[in-house]
Amino acid sequence: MSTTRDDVAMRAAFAPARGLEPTDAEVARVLARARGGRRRRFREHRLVAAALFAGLIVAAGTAAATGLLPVGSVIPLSKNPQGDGLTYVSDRTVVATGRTETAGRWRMSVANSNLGSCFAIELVDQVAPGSRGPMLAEGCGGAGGTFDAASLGGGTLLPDATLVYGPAPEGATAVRVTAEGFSRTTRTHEGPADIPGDFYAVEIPRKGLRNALVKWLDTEGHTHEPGIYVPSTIDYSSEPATPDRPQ
Amino acid sequence: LSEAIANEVRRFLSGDQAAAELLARRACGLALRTAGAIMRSRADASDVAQDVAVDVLSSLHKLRDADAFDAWVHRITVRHALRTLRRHRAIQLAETPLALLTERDEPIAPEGPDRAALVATRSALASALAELPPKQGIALALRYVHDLSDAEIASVLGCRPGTAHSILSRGRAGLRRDARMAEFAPTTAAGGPQ
Repeated sequence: MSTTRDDVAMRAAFAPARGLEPTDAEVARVLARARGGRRRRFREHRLVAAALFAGLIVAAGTAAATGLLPVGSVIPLSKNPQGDGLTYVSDRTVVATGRTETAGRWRMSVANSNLGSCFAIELVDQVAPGSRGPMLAEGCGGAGGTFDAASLGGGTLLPDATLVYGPAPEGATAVRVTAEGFSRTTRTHEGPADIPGDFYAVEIPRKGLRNALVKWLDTEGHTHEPGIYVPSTIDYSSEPATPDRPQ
Repeated sequence: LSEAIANEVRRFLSGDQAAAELLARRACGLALRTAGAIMRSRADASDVAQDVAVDVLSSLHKLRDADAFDAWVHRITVRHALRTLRRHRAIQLAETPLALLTERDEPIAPEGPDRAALVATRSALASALAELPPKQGIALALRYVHDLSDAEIASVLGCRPGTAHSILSRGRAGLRRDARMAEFAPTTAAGGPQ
């Protein structure tokens, strides 16, 4: 096969794809699905939105109790629902609780699984369609104490709001979401002593925010780069953002 | 490497489940690189890659020639990728800037100036490929990601080599017409004919 100048240019363009490698978690899911003979990737019922950590989206069913258990509460392993290819190996610990204007009360919790650390958020005031449990989204595969961002919103329950949430480093005091003409800052929540890192949730308008970026701030008020673009659930289609109004 | 893979295939078919992980990783990687070149996000590519790897493992008993494992994976990848691309286009997925997705996805390179360039490259390519017929995009990925020949691409696509050659030519021409790919036009490429 001869190589032309055109080939050289094309190879340069396709070079990033050549470097892609599957993660251990992806291979583990393949093996789990192949062994189980199941075609569904994850449990999909009761999922309303997706949390994205290390590329894995897990839709989980209603976890144990509703209501705002205090930070540090432990939900026994036996009450954690198991998903396709997902097996929890620890109890679930409540790491943060709070409330936002539209989404209402939320509760974040962590558990360990065969796919790594799992991080979940439940909107305890929002009943997921087709179920009697609260809206819940969970992602597995991330590492505790790091900075990450996922979003939840849209649909019939939260048509106008997006909840941006995730873990933050231990040294974070706040996170800030910015977009053109928009900025909102919220304080992070201290997790239990035995769980590394902090946690945050900030509500932003669902429409009109292009390239919304979330960054964390340290005790000096310095923002830490590069930040993370708010993923996927924002509707990019229409109105401008609302003016800056800190929560 | 191909001999090692063939041995793993034989081990797997003889009931050795330990070979499954290596084959799953191999299949997932091949499919991920193909899908990663033509999908708009790594998450979409990952979905395709996982589906492909599951299908490969569950249908491996149908593979007559253990040496043809990679080609088998490519064929299954084409089927899944075409289906996914057509479904995405059929429902006219809301446009999400690829740069956002790429930033959120697992890094394709370490932080730094090189990564920014790679993100820009991937963004330009994915946007341009999205305008091409799905089969042309897949054929280009097979050529420029996996270095398959016209004959090998024809075998994967289930067509004659001349047809594969034509698909590739049309795909290249389509990319060249796209302004986002101007940086990769032959006139500005490094190096000359080899």
